[in-house]
Amino acid sequence: MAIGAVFDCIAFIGLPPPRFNVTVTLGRSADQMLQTLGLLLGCQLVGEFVARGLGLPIPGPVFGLVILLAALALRPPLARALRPTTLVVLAHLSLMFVPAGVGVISNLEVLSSD
Amino acid sequence: MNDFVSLWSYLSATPVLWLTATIAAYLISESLAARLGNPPWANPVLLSVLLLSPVLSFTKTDYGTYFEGAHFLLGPATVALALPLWDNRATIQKSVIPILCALIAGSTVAAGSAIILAQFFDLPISVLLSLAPKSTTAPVALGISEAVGGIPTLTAVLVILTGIIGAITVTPLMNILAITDWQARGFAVGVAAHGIGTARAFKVNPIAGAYSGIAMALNALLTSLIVPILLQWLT
Repeated sequence: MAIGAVFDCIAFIGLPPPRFNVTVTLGRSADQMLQTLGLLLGCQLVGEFVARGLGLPIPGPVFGLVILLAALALRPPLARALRPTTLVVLAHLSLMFVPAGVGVISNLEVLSSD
Repeated sequence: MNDFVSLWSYLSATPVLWLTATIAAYLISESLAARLGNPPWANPVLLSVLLLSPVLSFTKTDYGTYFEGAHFLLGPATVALALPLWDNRATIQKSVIPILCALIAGSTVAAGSAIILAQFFDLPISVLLSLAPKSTTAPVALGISEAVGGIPTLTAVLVILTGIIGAITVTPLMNILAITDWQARGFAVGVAAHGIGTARAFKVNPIAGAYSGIAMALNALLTSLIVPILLQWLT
């Protein structure tokens, strides 16, 4: 299923599916997964830190997005290492809306009273 | 019996239970939607919500507890939007003027119309502040709402409603307007209806999906900059 998700994600950026040895890729991408998640969280943390520190009305994760973009511009090979895990996260972006959606039902009474 | 009650009260308070339940509900919904041929009304987010809500009300779990457990992926997912922006930098540079125009118009109208309509209908200021970021992707909208003094849970509700309405109306609306360019169709739904619209765009056409993703990421950036400005001007 994870492999299928990676292929979904490759469609996300409009590239043809690559031909590769699946076992080799699995081993490498498992290493990269942890590093990628660490980097995403690290960017968010620094973004949170800067946004709060400077008292900006911008959410920390948005600042983290800018920081990651800057990191990619400074070090383009980073994109290749990040891609597998990041694209899995993005392919299932609508999953991130489920908790908020449950809030719709839970808050229906509050909403109708307003 | 008593053991079960104490086990449940322990489990229901840990993040792992609600995170797992959310992912499970999402996987079930996605395969159900795929089996139905992905019609617009069988939205996986909508189906997941319909699956989870009875579980929460049956187990008398309050929303705050559930949200604590389920929401921690929101931040990293926002940061991850940097990658499609970077990968598409050539496309963005090539049509930088039309993209910027569409983005500024879409972003300003989405936030501005919400603020003006809220004032027109005399809604409380907290509701107005929660409405302003409704067209950005959930994690960013919640962040903006919190930063400007809105109610994040109310914003979550409005973001979802915006996304679902956008995802359901985009195809018929674009057909009525006779807009056939996949780039334009995708960009429009990405600016107006964020991730839910983007998920829909990917199901319809990969080019529309890519442009929708670009629009959503750029809109997240721009909206967090313009909402504080618009609020100063309009209120």
